Amino acid sequence: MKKIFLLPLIFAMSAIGADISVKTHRKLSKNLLNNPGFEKLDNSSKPENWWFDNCSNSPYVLGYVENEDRNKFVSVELKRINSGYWTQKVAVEEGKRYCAAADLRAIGSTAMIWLRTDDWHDGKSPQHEPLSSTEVYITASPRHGEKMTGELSLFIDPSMLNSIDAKQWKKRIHEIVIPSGHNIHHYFFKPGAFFGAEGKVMIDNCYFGLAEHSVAIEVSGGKNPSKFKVTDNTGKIAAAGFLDNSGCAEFKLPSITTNYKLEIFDNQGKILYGGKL
Amino acid sequence: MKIFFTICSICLFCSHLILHAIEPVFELRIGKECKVLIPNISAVNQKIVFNGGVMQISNDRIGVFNRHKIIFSSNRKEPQLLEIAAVATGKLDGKTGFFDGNKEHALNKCKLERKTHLETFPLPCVWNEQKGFAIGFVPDTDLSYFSSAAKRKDEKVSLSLAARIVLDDRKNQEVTFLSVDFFPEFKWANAIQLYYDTFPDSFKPISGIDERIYGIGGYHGGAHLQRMLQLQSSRYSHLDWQWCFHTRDGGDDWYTAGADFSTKKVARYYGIGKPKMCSKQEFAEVTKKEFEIGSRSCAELFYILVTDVHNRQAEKFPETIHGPSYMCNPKFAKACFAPGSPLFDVLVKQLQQITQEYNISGFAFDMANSSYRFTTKSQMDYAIGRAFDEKGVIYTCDTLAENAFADAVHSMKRGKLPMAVYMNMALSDFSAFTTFKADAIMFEGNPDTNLAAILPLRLMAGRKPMTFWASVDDQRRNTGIRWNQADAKELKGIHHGLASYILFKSLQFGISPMNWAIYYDDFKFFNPWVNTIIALKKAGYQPITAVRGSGSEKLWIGRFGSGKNTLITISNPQRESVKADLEFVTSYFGGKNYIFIPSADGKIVQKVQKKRTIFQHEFASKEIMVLRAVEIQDIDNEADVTISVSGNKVEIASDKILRMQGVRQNLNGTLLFRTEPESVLDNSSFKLKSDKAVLYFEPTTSRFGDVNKIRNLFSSIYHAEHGSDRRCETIAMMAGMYRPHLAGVKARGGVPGKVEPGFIDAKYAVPDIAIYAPGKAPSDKILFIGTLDDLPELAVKLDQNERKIITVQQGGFIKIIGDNSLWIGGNTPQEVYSAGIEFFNILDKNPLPLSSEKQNIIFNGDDIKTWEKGKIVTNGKILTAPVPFTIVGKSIPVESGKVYTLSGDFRMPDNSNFKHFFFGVEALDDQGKVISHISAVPAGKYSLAKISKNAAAGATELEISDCEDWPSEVQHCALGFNAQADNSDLPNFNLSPQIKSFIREKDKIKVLLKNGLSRDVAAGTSVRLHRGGDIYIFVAANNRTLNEKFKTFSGSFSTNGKAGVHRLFPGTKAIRPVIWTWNVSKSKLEFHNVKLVSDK
Repeated sequence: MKKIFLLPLIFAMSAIGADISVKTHRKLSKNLLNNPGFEKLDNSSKPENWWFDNCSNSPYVLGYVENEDRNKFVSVELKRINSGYWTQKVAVEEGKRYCAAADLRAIGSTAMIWLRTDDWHDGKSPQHEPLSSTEVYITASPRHGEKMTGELSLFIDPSMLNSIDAKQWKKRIHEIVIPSGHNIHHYFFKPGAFFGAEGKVMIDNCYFGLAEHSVAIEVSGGKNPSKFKVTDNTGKIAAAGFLDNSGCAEFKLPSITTNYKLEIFDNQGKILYGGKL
Repeated sequence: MKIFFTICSICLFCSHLILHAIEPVFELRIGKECKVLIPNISAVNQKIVFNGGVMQISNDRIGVFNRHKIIFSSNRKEPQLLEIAAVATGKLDGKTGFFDGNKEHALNKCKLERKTHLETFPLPCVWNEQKGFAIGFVPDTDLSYFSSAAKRKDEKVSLSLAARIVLDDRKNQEVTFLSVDFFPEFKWANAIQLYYDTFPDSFKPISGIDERIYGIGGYHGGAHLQRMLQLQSSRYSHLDWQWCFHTRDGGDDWYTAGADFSTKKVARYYGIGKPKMCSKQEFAEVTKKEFEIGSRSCAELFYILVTDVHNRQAEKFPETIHGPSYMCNPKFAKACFAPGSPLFDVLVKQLQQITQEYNISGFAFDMANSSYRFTTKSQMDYAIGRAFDEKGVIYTCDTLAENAFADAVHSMKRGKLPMAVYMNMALSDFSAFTTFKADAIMFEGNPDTNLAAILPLRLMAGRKPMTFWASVDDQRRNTGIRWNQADAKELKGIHHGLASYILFKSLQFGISPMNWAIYYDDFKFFNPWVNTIIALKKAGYQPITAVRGSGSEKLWIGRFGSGKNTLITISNPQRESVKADLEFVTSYFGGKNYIFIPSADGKIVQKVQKKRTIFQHEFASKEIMVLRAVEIQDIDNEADVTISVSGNKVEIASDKILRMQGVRQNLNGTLLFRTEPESVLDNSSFKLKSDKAVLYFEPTTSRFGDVNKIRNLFSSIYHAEHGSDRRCETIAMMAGMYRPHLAGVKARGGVPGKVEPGFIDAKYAVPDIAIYAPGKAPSDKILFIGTLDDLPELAVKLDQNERKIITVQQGGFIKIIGDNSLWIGGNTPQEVYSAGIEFFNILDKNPLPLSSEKQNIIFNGDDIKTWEKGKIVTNGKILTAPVPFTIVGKSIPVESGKVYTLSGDFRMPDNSNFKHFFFGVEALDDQGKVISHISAVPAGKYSLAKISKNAAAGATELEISDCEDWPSEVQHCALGFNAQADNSDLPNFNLSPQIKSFIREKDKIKVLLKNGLSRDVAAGTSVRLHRGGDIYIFVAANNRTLNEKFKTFSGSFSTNGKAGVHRLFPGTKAIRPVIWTWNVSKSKLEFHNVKLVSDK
């Protein structure tokens, strides 16, 4: 059960201005996946609600449940150049934005979250621009592990880097908008090992839900904090309103992966705080 | 160190490996059978008979290595699976390292193993602070698998290297081991250095190849009709060699032109993404032209996927087929292992045909890393380098096929030029033995794509040129970046960071970015470093940096070349400054003492001692220092040397008199011109003895004349004469494409060099300079291009000083000749070529006027009197005419060679969507007669036909012969009588009435006319098919739309159709401006600023 709340919790944060403190808490939409943390096993010790598959029925692709410090997770092991994945089918609504996420680890093989629908294909590529919304690969290669990102962090803002590791869980998040007008009702959520090198991918704490989520903010300090405004990375206002008497407000944002800027104003419209949400 | 061999055997039908170690102390035994012990083999040659075969060992020395050549032979038909291992053991106490051929490990209690031959340098080694030992294979080994291991037991360390081989009666199997002790001053790198020194040929390209492969690689981005534009576009990114994708589409024979087809799609004919179905002949011409034009500016490397063979070909050799190709198009191609089958000879013959047919410098082997383990019959029969997997399945690694084809290519020459092999090792799974066969190596990504692969691949490539292969902003290639969460500003920061990272890695390893990366930031980021990176590549990578000291561990350091050709790169990747106390261990540099001249402005103090030079420097964050060595002879004790660099001047001051020897070439493209005190200069180096010296560098290409004047003169030159060498001709062709290329880029929108030629309108791919042999240009404004020998009449105009300068500077010259002409010259064709490139660089820095400067207004349409026809009124500023209108101006003579531009502003004050507006000229001959389209334009490239029967005036039928290639249907056509093959009759006013239809009768055509002939036509009269067209030449507006706002229309033309401009009909001697419509709506046209200008 702890895993169900792990994803929202990682977004809880606080920021402190000169004399003002802002606490934020994001609450994600309902996880549409069943048994997202692989804790429930069936009689054959397979995770309930999931099935394992690969493109070739190759005996060199293995999927199994592992236990580590009482935590269960699934693995995909490639003993040849191949691919394999766990799968769950989820209902979706056309035109809505969804967020897919999982905690991943990898040794040798490239981890992936593969999203696809059988209902319609938009004809675009999952790998080349313009990217498809009906066939999506979210990948994380061990080639882009700590050593590489460690070097790159000397050249690139470290917050823009997201490596994958053999021992430490790293979260991958991606959002898609379900195309409208094509009778799309379901998507498959397939975390696993991308076609390629031999090795092993470990998967835990999966999430697939509406990207729209609620955010609660709590402002303390500052002189008469009164209003707030949230803008996205294009400057478009995503949310705005008044703080209540205790400096709190709750609002909805359409995306989890978008970088938002939060501004707090006093009752004269003077800005008291501005920073990343 | 003692070395032992173990031999192990696996029965084909057993499911497990049976391995026997000869020395129980190693405890390597796994199974029970086939035990062969070979102790102390270093002393004698031995013949060992084992169950199933014979093993002949012969020992000798090569360089500092012991060499142990082992040949296995057998009479058995049934393959026997063997593992031959060399095990060395020695005493290594304390901190011990193990280099497994891929990376360095600390060797502690646990056994360390590497179980793949891929990404593995074949010389694993172990060492502590005092000594090390290594075991390896010779470079020309053929293996599909080997493994290595290191293990410590108390103070003893054992190191093993094992190869899997398959033995039967097909062929003897050969494996040659090496062993060596080394002093690990720079850890494992000292062992690698010994290997480089012993087998230097494996770490450099074969001799005599096209040296342009050392430069920047990439793609021209051209298409068939735009080929000429490549001559200029490739220059901006310093493109020196191209990885060619010839016109094969979806897999085909390697030598496509030799295949059996009637039509084939040329994917890039009219432009990128604009294909054409071509006949076999057209296809051959397209392909030939691709390499003819491409090779003028770049070494062209012909694309081959060695394991991909077209179905049509592959199916004739089923013994080679592994399955559908998954690297090319599985619908068209099969994955084949050709060696061991007659298919190999078929394919090699195709490579030979390609070599003879196309102007190439070699072959580009794509995916030369490992993708397949072939289990085909052909690999069994090839019987070289076979291995087996853990289930006993026999296979040959596909890299062995690369080796066989590389050897075949190296036996080929085009003229005197040996063919080179450029291999793409993708991002992983590359074999050292294959890399050793290449002349140059591609890593198909940027360093961040697979950082772990860079070092092993660089070590294998040695001093061969290497390239990264990706653009800076290729988001697919790095999954460790949050691409989809970055906003525009953050994305810009990521791109800048990646560009910097590529640059730093390029300098550390001597690997160049590809042209798409050079595009970054409109060339501004990488361009200042291109010369340096190419210089590093040419100097050659050295595995030992030979630089140490405090702070060095935080810096990225590379060493290239040797002796006075040494270059050192030191960069600080950290986010903070690094204070470094550096020691250059100059004993590695070439046996002398050395000082180091930095490439950037500043002052550094160095202390030169026997076998080392030391200096301190605080490296700012992201600072890059590139140092060039200068040899110092016979130094006593030590010398303190201060080196100051300011622009092209270097001052060297020492407390001792130094005897210096260095190279003249500077990294910024300049060359040492003179020194104080005066020194001995030869072609490439200088010698100087002083305690205070000043070095003055100058550009290699000399300019004899004011730069602005050079530029302005070129703007009015349309004729060139060039020397006989192809490089001189190329510069002449490039000169002819300079203005058209810029015009094409301007029309397309974008930055010159970044806009790929295949995206530019093909009408710009026509040179605007006519080229001639010396003395033949019909003009007094000439661009001369050639050596002093090519142009002796000009050579006498060089004064003594100019002759001295060009001899010293070796980069050719640009000289103003008289009042109107220019000379791009040099002592050699290569100097002329260099001067030509510098000439274009000069033009780039001061962009030329494309059409607007120095214009002569020769028609002012704002003056109502200039118009002869049309109901025009004027208010003094704006002219007005009712719709419909045909407004025709006065006749204006036009001259050959000039470019004219017609322009004007037009609007419909009361119509927001007025369609069908036209603005152009009417062409007139020397008699003032209007030249119609039908009189001037042949209907196509049809041969001239003949009237086969007399026809009287009034006849409506004609019969013609010699018309096999004429079309069966025509529209708006007529026959031109007395037509000449050289078109000298054009415009031809002697035309038939319009043709109604053709009736083909065997080899003749009956021509039905709409009206009767106006005169008799005799049998035998030659005829050409003419086609009608627009009555005017709409150079500025062709069926455009007007609205209430004034809109400017303009267009250019000339009599001979220079690039980017319309061509007037042949025979045009004058024109009349025309404003026209066939729209009959009730409206009125307003216009002003109508003018015709010429470019000179």
